[in-house]
Amino acid sequence: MRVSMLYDMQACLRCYACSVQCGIENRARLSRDGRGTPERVLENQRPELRFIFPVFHYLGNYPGRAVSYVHHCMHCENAPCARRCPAAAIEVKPYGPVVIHEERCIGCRACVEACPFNVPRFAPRMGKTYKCFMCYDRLEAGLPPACVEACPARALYFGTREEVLEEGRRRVSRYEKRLGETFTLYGAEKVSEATGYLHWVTVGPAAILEDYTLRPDAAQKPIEALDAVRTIGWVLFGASAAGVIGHFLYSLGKRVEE
Amino acid sequence: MREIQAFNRFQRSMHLHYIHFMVIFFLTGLPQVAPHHFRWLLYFFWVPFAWFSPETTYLSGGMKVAMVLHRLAAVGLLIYAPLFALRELKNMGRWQIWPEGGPGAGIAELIKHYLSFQPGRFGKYNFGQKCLAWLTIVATGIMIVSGCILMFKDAFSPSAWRWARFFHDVGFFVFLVILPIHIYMALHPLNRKGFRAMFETGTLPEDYVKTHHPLWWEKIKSRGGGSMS
Ligand code: SF4
Ligand code: SF4
Repeated sequence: MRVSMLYDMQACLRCYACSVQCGIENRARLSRDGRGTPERVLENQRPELRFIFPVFHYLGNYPGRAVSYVHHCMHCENAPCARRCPAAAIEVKPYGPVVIHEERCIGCRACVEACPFNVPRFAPRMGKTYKCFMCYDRLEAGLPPACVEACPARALYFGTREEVLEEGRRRVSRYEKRLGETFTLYGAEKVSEATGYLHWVTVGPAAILEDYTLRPDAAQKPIEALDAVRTIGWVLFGASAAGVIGHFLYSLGKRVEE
Repeated sequence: MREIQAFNRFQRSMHLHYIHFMVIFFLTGLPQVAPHHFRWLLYFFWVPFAWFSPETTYLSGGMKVAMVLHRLAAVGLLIYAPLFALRELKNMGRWQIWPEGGPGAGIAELIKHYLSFQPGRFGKYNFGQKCLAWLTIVATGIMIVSGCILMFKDAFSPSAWRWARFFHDVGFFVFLVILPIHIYMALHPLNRKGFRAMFETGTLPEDYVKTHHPLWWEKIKSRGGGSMS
């Protein structure tokens, strides 16, 4: 059974209680895991442990239109970050969440290169990269992710994939009826070959989704092209090795003219 | 018998060190480019390291050591390659890797040498060697530029890292394809004299140059010297 998250742009109050709670939860988790007293771990700012946070950017010509979006991991079905991690530090849980195991991360930032949504954040002080892991430890203990619990507007919603998609579609049709605009459930279907569908779907007005970095066909093209380069490369290597072996066999018993 | 200088000491030492660097680059790079098939190599890097850092696994510890060695070899190459390039650029006009005749004639001579086992009408280098030399120069350039971007990531943007990663892979496969051919040809009895010149003496016998490298011999005669780069 797969799980999913839903973020509803329309219902979101922009209070960022989710972001505050995420930062607290992840530091408290350190204490729970025996990595410091509660005071010690909460005293430490550790901004890289806030996995969901607002990002402001300006669209159009100066001074432009200010847009803030909620930045978080999409928990992609095909997780490009996990596919590129050379230390196999990123695990795709069979029920959906994409988890970086901090102790295995070597800080190479291959995941940063691969992520189509610029999610993983490298912390130079720790020499490691961090991103949301959908509170998988809480999920396994039967609790919802911390950010979902903090949201006062039910703009964040968690459940099985079927429940989340059903809730998302219900919200889309309700908004469309009330506001007369087209809404999208971004990530319900495959976004791109690179990502597949997303375990974190977003409800939002179709016309402005791209302004909020939710673009169709999201992929890091040079990184995705590596697979083709590697396939062609190994085929050519095979041809070159076959040529060498062929010539060696051909040479056997032949006399070299000096 | 008179000997003709084919490679000077500096060229031979550069070639030898390039082999050393390549061995390190390949052993430490393969687990990154094809992790599913070459991760086992990481055990060898990890075992001594685990003694200092027992909390690591062969994947995290081994990969970290592999990356450090990869970068150390890169620093070695970065010291050597510019020295070599500066010295060779000075003699660019006398390089023997410029085309001599068209590719058709070059390939015909290669067939004569490698399939009929008769001396071809080569310059100092045959058509195949020239292609290999140019591919090596271009691929080395690609690897150095893209490698520097990947090594000094903080000085560049993530989109530069992505293109650097792409071209680093392309460069790797250029080497992966040409090196087996180069190594095989170098070890083949047909080219025994060339192997001796590169790894032992630096010279080729004059008679051998006359018969196997006639175009080069003509140039040597017209210059009236016994050594050309
Ligand atoms: S959004 Fe980025 S970090 Fe999250 S799973 Fe997808 S590729 Fe990985
Ligand atoms: S930074 Fe860490 S998680 Fe990201 S690819 Fe490298 S080892 Fe994997």
